Amino acid sequence: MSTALRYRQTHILKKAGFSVFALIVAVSYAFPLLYMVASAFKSDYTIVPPRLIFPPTLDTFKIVVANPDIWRAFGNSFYITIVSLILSVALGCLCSYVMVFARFRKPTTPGKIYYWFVTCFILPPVAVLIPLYLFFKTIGILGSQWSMIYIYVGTHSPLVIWIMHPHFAEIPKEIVESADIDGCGKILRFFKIIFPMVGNGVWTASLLLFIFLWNEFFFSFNLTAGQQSTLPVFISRFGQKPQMFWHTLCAASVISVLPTIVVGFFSQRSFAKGIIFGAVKG
Amino acid sequence: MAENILSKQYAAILTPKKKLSMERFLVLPGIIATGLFTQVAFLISIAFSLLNWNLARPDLGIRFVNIQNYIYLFTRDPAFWRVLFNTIILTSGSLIMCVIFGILLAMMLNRDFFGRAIVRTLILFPFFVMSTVTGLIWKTIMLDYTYGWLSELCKILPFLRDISWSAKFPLAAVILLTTWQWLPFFVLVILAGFQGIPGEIVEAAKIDGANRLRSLISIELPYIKGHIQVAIMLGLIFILKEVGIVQTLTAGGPGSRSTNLAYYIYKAVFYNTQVGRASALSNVTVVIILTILSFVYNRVLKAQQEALA
Repeated sequence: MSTALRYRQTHILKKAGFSVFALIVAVSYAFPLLYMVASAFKSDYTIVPPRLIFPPTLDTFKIVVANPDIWRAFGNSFYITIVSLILSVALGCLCSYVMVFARFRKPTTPGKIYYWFVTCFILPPVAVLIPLYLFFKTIGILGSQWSMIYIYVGTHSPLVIWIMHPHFAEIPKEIVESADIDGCGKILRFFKIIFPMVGNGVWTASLLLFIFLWNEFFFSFNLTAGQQSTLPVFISRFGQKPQMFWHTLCAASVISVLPTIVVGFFSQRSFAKGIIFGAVKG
Repeated sequence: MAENILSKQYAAILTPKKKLSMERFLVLPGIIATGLFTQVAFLISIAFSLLNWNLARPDLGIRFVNIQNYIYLFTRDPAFWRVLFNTIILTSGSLIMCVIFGILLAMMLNRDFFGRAIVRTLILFPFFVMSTVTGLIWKTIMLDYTYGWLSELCKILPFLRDISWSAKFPLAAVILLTTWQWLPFFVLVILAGFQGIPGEIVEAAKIDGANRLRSLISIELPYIKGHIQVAIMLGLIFILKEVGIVQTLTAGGPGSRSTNLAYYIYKAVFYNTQVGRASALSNVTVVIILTILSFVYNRVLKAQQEALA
């Protein structure tokens, strides 16, 4: 056997050994989630004591799916998330575009506005909870879907700007100027030339926002209740049930984390890039 | 110098003077939306903190009490210092764990091995799970002391006693869960940093005789310092407002032993119905958070400027 071949063999063996190690680390890290999915297929007889081998059943899912409350919460979450997502991404893109391309009286103004937005993003949500609670209570829309949407758009637009601003700033000015010289209108210029160039950033911001909005608990926990509650609030109420609830909890959890898991699975790469891009170049 | 002036003159000649366009006002909707729900609301909250206002007793009316609420908070509030201490321990503990394990896992993922995509996906999953699910799942199927996996572990390892660990060490349990939830985010950011290190630098260190540890400490970690700072800054923002895990795992208890500031404000408004005191509490929280953040943020900015220079 030649030394080159032997070297190759030990290399592959080492690699395989490391793969096994890495897989063990990953599986034990994700174990609570994997076991949660498995438990969703258990019945109230097999849920305790904890065992990895059990006769799988769909009965638990049938019970959970038959409950209209989870679908109401799911619908609330979905409506609030999608509408706030579209509004904040649109608003954030518009602001970033204006800050980069519009001419202000003082050239330093856009930079100042940008830092103001970043500061708003840093401001913790506890600072604004009480006035917003009393304000929505006074005008009588406390906990409604639109009150949540207003709050989410206001608090999440800075995040979009934080991600989008560097993307707009990266566009070469010459391209925009040549479009102007060719007689391209402002609106056409935005949609035909600038928007396709920041498409990647829009995608990243939307995915990130979807995950944050879907899982948002602080505001929804404090402001929504009963029929208006969002999915995280609905789940949090499971803990207060007296009887054995673990199997239904697991099934409901699987349903509620499925959208973010799917979105997250397809966005792993752009996700990391988007965060870094906004932060390191910001 | 002369060239500079010349090029500036050329630029002035070549770029035609454009009128100030109306499109600059399109930034206003964003400013209004954000300003209304952050800055204006915050200013109102400052005003509220100077009032004595009990939501459950409208007959008492709303009275101006100056800084009484703040004095109450610092001197007579039974749980404030405890909660502040908890918040600091919880945040710094989770951040330190996240950075250490984040670097280790990112190093693991940065190597070449079979099934890397599966391993990376498995490690990322907890980040996409909502915090209430994290709290309840861990509380039931993992940490429950009669039927959870922890009790199974206690059967195998006799030195672990069969007790409710999450009730005995509530803060440690909250730290564990927060770390579990936020670690993937740190791994992602730090991994991106590792992948940005040019291969030649590490090669050169190897040729110069640096071993694996030496090269990590002296070359790779300084290189990804900026990424670690960004991760810490964002992690700080999100971990400081964590209520989902606290609410579902321990509900802040027993007593106030695992209550953090964010959860304490919730209790102040909705259990004690004291708007003034709750506002004072939230303003103190904001001052603490912004002080810490501006410290970290300035360091990040400085690192950025150094990187650009």
